[in-house]
Amino acid sequence: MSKRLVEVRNASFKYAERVIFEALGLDLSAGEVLTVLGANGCGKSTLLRCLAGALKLCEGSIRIAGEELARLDASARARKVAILFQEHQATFPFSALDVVTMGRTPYLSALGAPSRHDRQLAERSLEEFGLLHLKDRAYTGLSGGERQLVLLCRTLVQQPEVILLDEPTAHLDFKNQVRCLKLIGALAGRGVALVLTSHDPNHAFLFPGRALLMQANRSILIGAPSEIITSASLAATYGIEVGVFSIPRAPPLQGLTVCSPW
Amino acid sequence: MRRGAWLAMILVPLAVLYASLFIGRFNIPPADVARILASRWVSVTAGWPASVEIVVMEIRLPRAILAMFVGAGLSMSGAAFQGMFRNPLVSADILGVTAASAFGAALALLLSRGVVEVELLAFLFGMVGVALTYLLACTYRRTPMLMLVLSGIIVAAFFSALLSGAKYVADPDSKLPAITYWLLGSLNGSSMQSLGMAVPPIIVGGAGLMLVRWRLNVLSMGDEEAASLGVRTDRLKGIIIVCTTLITAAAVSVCGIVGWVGLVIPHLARMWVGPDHRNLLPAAGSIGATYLLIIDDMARSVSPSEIPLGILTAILGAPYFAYLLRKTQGAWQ
Repeated sequence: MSKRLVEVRNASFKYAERVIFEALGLDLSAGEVLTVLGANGCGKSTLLRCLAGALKLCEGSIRIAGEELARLDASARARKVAILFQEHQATFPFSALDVVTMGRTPYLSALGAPSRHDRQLAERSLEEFGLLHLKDRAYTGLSGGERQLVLLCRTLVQQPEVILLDEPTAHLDFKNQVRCLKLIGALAGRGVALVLTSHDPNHAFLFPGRALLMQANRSILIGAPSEIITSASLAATYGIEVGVFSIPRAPPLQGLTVCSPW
Repeated sequence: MRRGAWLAMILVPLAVLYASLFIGRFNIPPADVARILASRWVSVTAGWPASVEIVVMEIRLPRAILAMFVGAGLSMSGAAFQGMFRNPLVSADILGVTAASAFGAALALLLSRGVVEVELLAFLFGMVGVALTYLLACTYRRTPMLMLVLSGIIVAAFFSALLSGAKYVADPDSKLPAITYWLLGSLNGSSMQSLGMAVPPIIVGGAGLMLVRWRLNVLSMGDEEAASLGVRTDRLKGIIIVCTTLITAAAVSVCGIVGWVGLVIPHLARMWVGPDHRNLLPAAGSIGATYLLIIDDMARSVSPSEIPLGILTAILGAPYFAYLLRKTQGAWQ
């Protein structure tokens, strides 16, 4: 059995009186991708922030690679968990390489600066994903898609056990969505556990792993996408009627499952 | 960054420093300045009147060194704050340090105190003002940027009101002009004593900023993101605030309010070496030192009487900033 990287036990979180999730239990192993689905404002990002340790649980515990998340200090946490937030504001024109190198910060001493080795790591990860040509470009001048890929590279040089992505494909055109999804698939192949939130239920079918559905009645479904993503559960989540269809494909390709309004 | 750039950062301010010792209404040949400086270390036959040596060593040199430290300090603080607040329109006085210092100085002048007390009170009030801002901005042991900015506005407004009160009750024949002149900013009358008072805090603050300059890069990506990269953001912000406040309070206490330096110079430096604070802070320090030294040379030599520094920095700074803004269309590259 592969290494268990995320263990969530009896976790709950609420903002004042509003319960986001309660008594949540969840295990994730290396190489697994968990796709979190739910309507706008249901608390997908909140769940992700809790998993990153940016928000403290009201109850319960989260262990990352065997260690209690709440007990880790900021850099120890950043060595275990990398997170990409949905909102990202670029103010200063740092080069793409500088931005990726920032991923090495949790490995530096409090007053340290990245070494040549850190820069090489950053450069190598850009190269690996075919982004080396962007290295000296001002990060503020990159397209939304390029920027997202550069940030994904940054999470990689952070060498975490768990990567959390908050709507990584939002604001991307179709081509960049595909590039981004492929990169996420490649990351999963390296033995990290990935959690991503998405507005597109189809994303859950693309990766080896499970889906987490935050339904409108605050109940949470976790399971294999093919089992839990159904017309009924999508109706309970988004309040609309959609169909879920299986498309057989000739071997060796596996069949596809897609959600569609028609 | 290329080695030439580092060399320029050191050599240009030194060259301007040398020029500042012979430029002035009291004409001294450059060669004499060189000989006077050399006579400190090697024996040189004194071929110059004693008054020349006094002008160079006791009037121009301390003043020039002070101008450099103040210019470098204000520029580095401005650059650090612009990074921390993720806003290139911020300068070192955003947390109210200038307004509070100004009131401290005015209070000392109102009480007819000497130079040392004016400087001391200005420095202390500057520190107190920022401490107030910080406490006001602290919510749930955190210090969100928006709270810091708003608290800074409140504290600055409060001390500005106190300053107006001090001016209102000041004797219009003697004390009011003294306060007004002090507020305009000047290095006139800077002595070894003011040097001893302002330089140590500026060095301490500057060194502190230099130590955290990589983390400042990460912080400029946003609080939440920096925290996710392992930066303890509230502690880092605290360190940056203490350092910039030490610098700014020390600068304001010895030379009054010198605006625009902390705003414009970081932009110039960013255009030169880019946004990476590892290069940006030294570059801002170097350009700031050179800039304020040149401005101060103008202040004391272009007209028979001294021109206040604050007037010159604004008269030159504002149009230049306007030019930058037009040229870059607000894209702060």
